[in-house]
Amino acid sequence: MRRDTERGIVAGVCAGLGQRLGIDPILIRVAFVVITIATAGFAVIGYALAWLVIPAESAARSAAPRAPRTATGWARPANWKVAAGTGMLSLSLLLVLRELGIWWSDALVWPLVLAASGGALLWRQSRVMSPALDEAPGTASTRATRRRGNLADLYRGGFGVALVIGAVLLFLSANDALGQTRDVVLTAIAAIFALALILAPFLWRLGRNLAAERAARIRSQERAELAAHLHDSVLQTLTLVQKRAGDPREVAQLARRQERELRSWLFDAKRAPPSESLATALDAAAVDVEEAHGVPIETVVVGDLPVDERAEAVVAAAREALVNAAKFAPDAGEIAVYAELGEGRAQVFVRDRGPGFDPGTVPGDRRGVRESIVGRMERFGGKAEIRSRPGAGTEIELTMEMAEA
Amino acid sequence: MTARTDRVSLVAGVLIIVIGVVMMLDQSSDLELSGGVLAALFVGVFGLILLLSGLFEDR
Repeated sequence: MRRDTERGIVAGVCAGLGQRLGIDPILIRVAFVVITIATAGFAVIGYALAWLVIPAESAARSAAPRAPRTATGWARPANWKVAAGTGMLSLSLLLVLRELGIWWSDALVWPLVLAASGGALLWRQSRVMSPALDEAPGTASTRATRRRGNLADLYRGGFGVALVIGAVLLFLSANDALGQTRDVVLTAIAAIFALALILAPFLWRLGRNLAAERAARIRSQERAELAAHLHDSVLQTLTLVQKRAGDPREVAQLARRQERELRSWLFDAKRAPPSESLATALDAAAVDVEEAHGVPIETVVVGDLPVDERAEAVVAAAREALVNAAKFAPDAGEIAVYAELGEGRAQVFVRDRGPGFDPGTVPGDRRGVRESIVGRMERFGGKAEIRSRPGAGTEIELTMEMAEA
Repeated sequence: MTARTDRVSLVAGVLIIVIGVVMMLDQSSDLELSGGVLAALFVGVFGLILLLSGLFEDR
């Protein structure tokens, strides 16, 4: 059921109920007035409750295309509801205790209610702003959404602090404990107010600069992700197409596969991870490279971890290392993949017995190792080490700290 | 399309029915409740509904 705010008179509860039951809203309104009179006005409380609990039709419609519900902002009243609900439950508990005769002083009531509300608000903020959530891996756009929300959360968190401080001051004032220190408190409040007025423009500018810097960093990360993906997919396929130009059937097959992959990446917003298991995803990547490049790959995986965005980055980097080995050491025998997954860490080694290279002499325009392997791992909080010498093969070690299964 | 139960509305409805029953018993003198207890009941139910509504909004 939804409130019909467009056809409603007050909040659209009667109109929504009429729509739900298939009855003319006027009849519902008449019935509501009669019930209100009969219950000496108590039905109004029911109306207010329905107003709070039942979502509005227009709000429900307009909320759909907006940010996901996990996004935070002023428009979302969930935190206020929790704070108000906690305060009212505290008030209810205090009233019950008072009725039961377990009571100290009436001066306790409002300070305790305010403190409970403020505490609930702070608890909600600490949950939203927890470092685990903020530092969790994710795409640049999801990180941007979290950070935009954090500014509003910080501001709202200030209300929680203010409520708790207000509760303490109210309690002290009610018990005449502020009498002797009233002048000191007033001076401190005036000083804080003046400081806030003086510093506000600087803080505002600092905040805007920080936001601009964050936005630029996020855009740069997004560009790097895009470049890495295009390198790993389109450019690698074009290299294969050049190599197999003599076989039109295989070229067409490669083009079809690449087109499918690119369309899915560009337009399918709800891309499912390739697998639920990192071990399976690594195996699948090895098989894929083996089939595309026709080189034998031996994969040994010990343990397993769930697939999240960090694990996907490990798989993508390992895949790029395998493609490089297949491209530059096609006749050097088997490529070896050894992975240790567990204890909150994924460690993957990709070895080949090819001609090797000097990592210091890789030209700047070759993005495979720098962006698709090293850059990608670093963007997700991991690291990649390349050990290679001309004539001695190459070993790439990928390490990522991640959540245990 | 499958219809999903709105748990908050369901709980709110049950709580309001409970309040109604308590008030009815109070009116019919089967239950003697003071104004303080009734106020505590109203405020508590209202607060619980608000709290649940806020907590479930994230899910």
